[in-house]
Amino acid sequence: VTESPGAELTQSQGPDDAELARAQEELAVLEAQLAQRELELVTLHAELRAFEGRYLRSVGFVLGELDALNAEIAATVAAARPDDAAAHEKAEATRRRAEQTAETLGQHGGDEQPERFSPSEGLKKLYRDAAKRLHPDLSTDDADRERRQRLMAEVNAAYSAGDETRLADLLASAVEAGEQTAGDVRTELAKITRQISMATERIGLIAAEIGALRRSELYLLRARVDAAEAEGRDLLAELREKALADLAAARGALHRARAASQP
Amino acid sequence: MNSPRSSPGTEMVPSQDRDLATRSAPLVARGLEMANSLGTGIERPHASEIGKPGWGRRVFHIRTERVNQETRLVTQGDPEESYTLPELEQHMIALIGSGMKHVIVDLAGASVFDDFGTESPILGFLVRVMRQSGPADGSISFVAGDEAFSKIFELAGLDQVFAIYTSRDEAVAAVESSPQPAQRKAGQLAEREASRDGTFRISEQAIDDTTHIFELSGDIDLYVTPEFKERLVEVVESGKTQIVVDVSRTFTIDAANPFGLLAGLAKRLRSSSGSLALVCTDEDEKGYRLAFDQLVPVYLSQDEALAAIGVRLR
Repeated sequence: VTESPGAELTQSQGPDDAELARAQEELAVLEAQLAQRELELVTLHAELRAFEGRYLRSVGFVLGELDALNAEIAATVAAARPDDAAAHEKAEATRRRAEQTAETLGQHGGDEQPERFSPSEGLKKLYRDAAKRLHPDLSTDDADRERRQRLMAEVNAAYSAGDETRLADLLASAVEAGEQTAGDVRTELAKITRQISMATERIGLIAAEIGALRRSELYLLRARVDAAEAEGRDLLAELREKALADLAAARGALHRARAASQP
Repeated sequence: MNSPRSSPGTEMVPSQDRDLATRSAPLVARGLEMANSLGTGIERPHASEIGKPGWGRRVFHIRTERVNQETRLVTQGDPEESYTLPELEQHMIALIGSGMKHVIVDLAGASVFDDFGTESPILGFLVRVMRQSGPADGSISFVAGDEAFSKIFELAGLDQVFAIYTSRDEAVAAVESSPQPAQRKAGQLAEREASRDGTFRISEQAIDDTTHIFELSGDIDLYVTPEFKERLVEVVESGKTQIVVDVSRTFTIDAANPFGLLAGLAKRLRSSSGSLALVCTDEDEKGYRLAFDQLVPVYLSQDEALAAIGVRLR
């Protein structure tokens, strides 16, 4: 019975169909995982960005003023001691530091970030649904990938901004675009296998990226602030007080340096 | 074959989030320094209060001891090193993040539950540590202070996740009785190098009526997958439900095909109350764990894999 080519063909379709069904099932699991991991990553980004804004507004700008004052003090001292190489080196170093701080703060000066990023469950769900439909690593070809990459960037931006309406619009247009027509079993299997591979790789990359963020100074400082908050302390306010005290001391030092440099 | 592509990560990140961890790093580092100079702000107990009921309230006094290259024991220590619960959490996450595979927390005498009660945030703390440390980062085990501690673990289902021991010696012995990583790695690498001709081979071992081991060696790619798949299907159709696939002697693995095949097999076996376990070198362990997440458990030896599915080799 199995000798005829027709029978062979019929037999070979069975396992392919089963493998396709298994691959589809696996892809569905991975899609959900991928959407969840992207959500975790974009949420961590947004939380850290909000915290960065809080820190810079509360403490960073005071440190910026402090650096500018210190640069001015060092420049005043150096001007009064033209032959003192160490004073000139110090003036140059403090000037560079003040410029660097001002540049960092300048990038954030216009930011109108919320104090905290607290996405609602509805927003998270919209994000997961959109990521499942639009993730570039679930693309079928290069053109599709580019389109998804653009849309996913918009999804991330809408989620980070807490813009539920925009996110819902993006999801609706993705649903409207609908599913692509399935090819034959083997083509479909090859496509899904590729999607599985890309999604798996991206999940690994997200884990690495989250790990790197968790090792950052920004994350560590936020952990300290959260820990203090659990103790009923406002660490950011304490840091601001300390920076303001340093600033007051620096103003005094500048006054003295100017007085000393007068002939 | 897949066309080369770049990671979509950066393009998808909102512009204001790019370089988030580095752009304000110098200013943030100054904040951390200032926070250190401010101290913890936590009231430390006076020497005369130490040992009295409730003296440990709000604060853990911690000492971290080295057990071996990849294990640290966190235990009650000097009042000089004080942590609140959130700080203890960060300390443990940092330990695990620094490459420690095993962390043993000795809470005997820490009177955790005196301090926090049965509605204790310690449960939330444990779950967060577990979640943040990730599945690839080894084990966290606990030395129970008293029976109440073990009971709360059981009630919360955490005894399924963490190993709980009644004494520190028992916990240390359990970690040390696992194969030493350096020896294990050297042995595996030597075996792998010895067989390095790249030719794909499958060897098999039937353990019992339901359990079967596949040992793969050489390079696994698109072209050898059908051969492996054919044998897998034959073995599964013969009634085997517990399959161990040992890839510790393989070199290069094409990402898509064998992974998809194994993931599909895992689901199929699971639906018939069976299971699939993967054995790899500890060099590759993290990658496989990331690839399979919770779908296929990953072990470092066949013995470990068989023990996990309830089979013991002679």
